[in-house]
Amino acid sequence: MAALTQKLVTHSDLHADRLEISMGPQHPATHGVLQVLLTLDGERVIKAEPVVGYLHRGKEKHAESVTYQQFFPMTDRLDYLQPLANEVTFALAIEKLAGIETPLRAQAIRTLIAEFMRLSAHLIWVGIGGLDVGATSVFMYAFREREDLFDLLDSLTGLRTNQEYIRIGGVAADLPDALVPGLKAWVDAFPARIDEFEMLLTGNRIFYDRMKGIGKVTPRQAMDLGLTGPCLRATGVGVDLRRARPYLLYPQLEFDVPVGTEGDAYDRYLVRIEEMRQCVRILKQLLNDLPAGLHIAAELKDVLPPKGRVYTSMEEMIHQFKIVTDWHCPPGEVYSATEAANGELAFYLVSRGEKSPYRCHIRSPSFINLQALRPMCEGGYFSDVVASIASLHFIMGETDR
Amino acid sequence: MAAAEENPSSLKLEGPFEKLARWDALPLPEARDGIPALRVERDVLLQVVDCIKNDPALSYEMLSSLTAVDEIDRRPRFDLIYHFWSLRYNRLLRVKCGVPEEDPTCSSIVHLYGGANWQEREVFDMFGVRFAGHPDLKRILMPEGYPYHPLRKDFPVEGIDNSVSYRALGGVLMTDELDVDRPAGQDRTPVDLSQGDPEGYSDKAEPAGED
Repeated sequence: MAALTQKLVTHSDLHADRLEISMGPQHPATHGVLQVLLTLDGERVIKAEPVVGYLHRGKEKHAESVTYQQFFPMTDRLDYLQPLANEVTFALAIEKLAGIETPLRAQAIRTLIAEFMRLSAHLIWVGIGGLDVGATSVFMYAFREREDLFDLLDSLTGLRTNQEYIRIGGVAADLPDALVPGLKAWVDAFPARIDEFEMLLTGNRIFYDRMKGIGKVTPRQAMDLGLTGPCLRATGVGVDLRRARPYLLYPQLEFDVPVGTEGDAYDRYLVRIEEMRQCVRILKQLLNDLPAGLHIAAELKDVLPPKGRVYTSMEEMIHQFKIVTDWHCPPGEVYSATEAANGELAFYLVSRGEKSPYRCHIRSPSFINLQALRPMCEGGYFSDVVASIASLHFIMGETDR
Repeated sequence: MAAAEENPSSLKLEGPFEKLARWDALPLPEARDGIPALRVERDVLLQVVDCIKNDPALSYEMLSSLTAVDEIDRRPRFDLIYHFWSLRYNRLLRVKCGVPEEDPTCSSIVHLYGGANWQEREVFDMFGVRFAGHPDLKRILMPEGYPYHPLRKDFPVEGIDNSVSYRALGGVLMTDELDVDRPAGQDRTPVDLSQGDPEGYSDKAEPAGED
């Protein structure tokens, strides 16, 4: 009997040593393939080291060997919750580099799409973020809305996700007038859906207790780490690239930039919820006043002609062939950023006047934001690691590139 | 391109940037994006970045992006590209710093911008540029023990002999999936490389095959 008790691990044994745990890369709450190496003292997290790279696909290297047009499908798979927002960002960078003007209608459609993508990404966040901290039902509500949105995007682009709809100089096909009432109906119904999410989460005692005061980041810390997007705004720094470095039609649109006060997980949740309401405001303004005109620039030397004309006109046929096989971007460099759902998404392109970029760096918000996981988790409880991961929100496809 | 870029004789440091003349920062011609750009020598990079961050007239509180470009036909071979963002004045600034191939090191700015930590690790991983003073400089996207720096221009896009890194890790290689140069007729059998090279997998055969 005495020999047996000696072999048992006692409570004091457990407390004597620090425990090292590898959370992930196959863990349901790490949103993909993130590994977090945790050092625990009892329930306290002493050290949390995120390990990334499991989803590295060498996109930046790949970009150097394909043409500019060929890289669009790759950008879809960065932040795969908002594929078209990535495409818009990449297109804006190329257009800035090559000096291509886009028609007003194309810009309006792109703005519309970018906001729908923000909603789609935030919907996933509400669903999965709630699920991570135990609010199971909101997941179904969020995904129901997302499916409806995907049906509409399917009618517009032909695909539910990874649409490949943006072209240099505009978009692949015009937004049909017949689709506008459907989009309007979805947008009009959506504020009531946000109310539903809030009913399930905002005042929910369990959700509140799991999120309030967890993973705090101060404004100074956030700026030091280069945090952008809702995570930065939750700390009280009201910086939004749609306002700070305006692009597309944002200068003409009315919307507010919500900020938090505490910089904790609950504030990050509230900021995202309010951003969804602002998205609805933007979408209503755009849908009520869609400018007429071309959906893609009529610059035959630089921009793909509409497909219908390629089959019927010799001139367009020749230019299509020329652009697909032999379009050269003028030499130069450009750093072009947009406000994606997770923060500042930017492309730094260097062109030497060749068919493919000499260098294509993707400034991914998830990669840089993920560094904040360490200060968020350290000093807190083990069970709050998941709440910090959920509220920080990163997409591993974009992190690892 | 590099030659066309470096004609700073007609350009002068203006406004708040005049302070940087102490360290011979060279203004660069305006790029398409209209972001002011400077070229800085790497031995004074730290002083310049410190001034950029802490001088009230400059006040670039955030590091937006840090990356590198391999200008393989130029000396120095690598350019580090920093994009700083001033929230107070809502301005961007691009700083370039050349790093030679023979001694690919530069000062780390992690103590000034914590966000530089992973980005410097990425530049080290992809280009092999080392950052002196970095708290934990190791690979970030490629596996530990990987022998190459893939974003260098002399690294082929299809990769180099994948088995090398897996051998270094003591791993087991699935021939069909990973090794593009596998001997013909081999099927999808796992090869245990920890027990020495199986036939046709010699490292020495590789360079001859590539030529």
